[in-house]
Amino acid sequence: MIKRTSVILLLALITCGTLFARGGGQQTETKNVSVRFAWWGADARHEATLKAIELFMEKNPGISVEAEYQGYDGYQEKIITQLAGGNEPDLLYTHENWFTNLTAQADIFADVRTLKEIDLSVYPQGILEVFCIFDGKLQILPSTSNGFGLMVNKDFLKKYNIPEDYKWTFQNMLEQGSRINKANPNEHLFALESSAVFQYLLQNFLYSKTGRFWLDEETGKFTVTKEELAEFFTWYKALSDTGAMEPVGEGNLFTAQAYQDPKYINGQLGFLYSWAAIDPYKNVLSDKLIVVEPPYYEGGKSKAIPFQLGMGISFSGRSKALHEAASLANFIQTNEQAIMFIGTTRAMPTNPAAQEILRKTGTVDPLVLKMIEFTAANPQPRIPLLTFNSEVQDIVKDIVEQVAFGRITPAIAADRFLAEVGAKIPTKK
Amino acid sequence: MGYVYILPWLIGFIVFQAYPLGASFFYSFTDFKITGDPLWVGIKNYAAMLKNDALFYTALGNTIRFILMSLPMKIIAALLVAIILSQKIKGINFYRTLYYLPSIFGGSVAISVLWRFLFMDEGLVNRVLRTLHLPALQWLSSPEMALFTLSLLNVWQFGSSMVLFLAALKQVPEDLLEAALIDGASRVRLFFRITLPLITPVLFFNILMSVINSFQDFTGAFVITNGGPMRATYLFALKLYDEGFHYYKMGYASALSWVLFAFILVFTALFMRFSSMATYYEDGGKF
Repeated sequence: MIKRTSVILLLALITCGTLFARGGGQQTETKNVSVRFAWWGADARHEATLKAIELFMEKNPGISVEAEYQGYDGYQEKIITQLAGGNEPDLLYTHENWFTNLTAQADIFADVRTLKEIDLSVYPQGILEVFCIFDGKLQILPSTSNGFGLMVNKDFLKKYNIPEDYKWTFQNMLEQGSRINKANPNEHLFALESSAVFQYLLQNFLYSKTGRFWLDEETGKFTVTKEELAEFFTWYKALSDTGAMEPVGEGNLFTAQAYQDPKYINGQLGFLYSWAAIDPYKNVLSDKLIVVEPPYYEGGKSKAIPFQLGMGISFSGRSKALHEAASLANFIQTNEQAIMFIGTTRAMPTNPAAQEILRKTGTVDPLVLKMIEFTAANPQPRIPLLTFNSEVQDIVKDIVEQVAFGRITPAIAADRFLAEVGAKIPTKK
Repeated sequence: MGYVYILPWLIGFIVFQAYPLGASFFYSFTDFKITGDPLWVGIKNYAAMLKNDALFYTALGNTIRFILMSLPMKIIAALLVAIILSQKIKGINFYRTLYYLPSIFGGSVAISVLWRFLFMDEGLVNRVLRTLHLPALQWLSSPEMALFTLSLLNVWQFGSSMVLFLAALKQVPEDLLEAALIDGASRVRLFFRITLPLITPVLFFNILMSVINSFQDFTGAFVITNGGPMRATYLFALKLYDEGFHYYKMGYASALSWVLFAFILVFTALFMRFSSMATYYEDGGKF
């Protein structure tokens, strides 16, 4: 009887203690709002962003920011898991390419146009309309405008008597790459993981040759022919067979982090493909790094360079600190000091005023500036969003690997592309 | 009154085990995206898996091959090292700790990254081979070799099996071994006729646990090769991850997880049935 009473008393005490603690917490919460902010990147970006956040918190004592940052690998999957569990951050960096997958699932993000804390007038309206609106909502606040090019080791070019201003074409890539590998079987002109071949090679090869993307998004029909695809796969196979490209099996070990490839670090690779976040490449090559325009199809219809918005900030529609989150985002993208802290760790800001601040203060890395400028001078239109669909990407990755390893011919690869990717198109639109 | 005492465990069990188990079983019969309501589709997920998904069979085949490659090496290595470490030699505890350590952190991301740098074409292993004028191998970049290289990572983590074998070897009666020696039995005959039969319960336990763990192996394939090259290391757990977190098909991923559970359950049941015929218990008891 006494034992029973003691147990009940104990349980009652614990329950009361929890209630009081909850009450205490509530009093604190009304004075201090906590905002969770997630992003991806390398160390330079993390340090820069944390400095900007500290500055924001100094100027906004009632708001505390919890930073959640990591490398790119796994970031998207983490966000998806958080969205599924309903515990996503209040604001988070996203990428326009993800929305083809995300918006097919559910209505997740807030319409930025409803957030009065954000001054949308500072952004080019064309970019907002073309790259930021999905399902009728402005779901991503543009952060950076990206350039695209080659991260070249100039000492490598010198070794093989290739001038720094060499105009790369898809055709001469094969020619030069074969020559390089013949001279030294351990060295290659470039490396590219198979998961990136669709976006960086196939897409651009076809667009540069024909002047059109592989898919007409309006009609959902292919614009590419079997012969054009077969030509690409033939070229790609030759890159692999001649050693112009690092063997696919080896390059794939450094997916999403090609700058960690020991061959690149040791100067055994000529270049890597990348968007304009150059810091990891600079850390590896330092003053040996130069950036050049990506290759085009000689005799083709276009030399336009891939352009994408890059990353931006999205706001959880379920956030209880939406307005505070919006204040933080606006601060990071428009406050002069914050802009200088962040610099070009996320490539060039989309906000023209921010670009001007960086130019005036000399904060912008000349290599980033060069990439942004040559891309902006001749940009491609928006890439078909289906290019970024995960299932479509994996289908193309499988086909590309089988071509590289000689398991299927380029003609069969072309057939499979049309059949397997084609099967995904209607269900994804 | 008893329920009050087990309440903390009961709450934990319901919240972290029973509910997720039940929920995932329900979701396996739905078309469930990352947010929004699951849509009931009946057995469509299971049917699609068996009829329309070639990668299901690829992943299953790779996983079975992975188990067949790693299991014998792991068990033999664990037993051999346990036999050596059962001897009375100076510093034996240090060596036992050393061999046990890989099984603690061997499954970590950091070790997988290290494995990648060891076995890539310009990695340490090939450098050593070249120094010894031996041919370098494409450990991770060749579809033929990559799964074997991953299985070596699994084998390297034989420490926990080794500890169990060590304990079992200690239980083998010394007088039996001495009597056999006096009768003229060789060391090899001693091992196969006396030691091995007496340690069969632990042997079968180690085999069973290794198979169950290998069915669920994920970290190495994800971090090192991401299922490549050419899906050569595309294990079942990786397929499950892709469906759920890459393609956002949570319903289908749940169905895959239940199929994996079924495979493990069937294997365990058959194995128990078989092991009761081949396992020796001193007291004659059956499992």
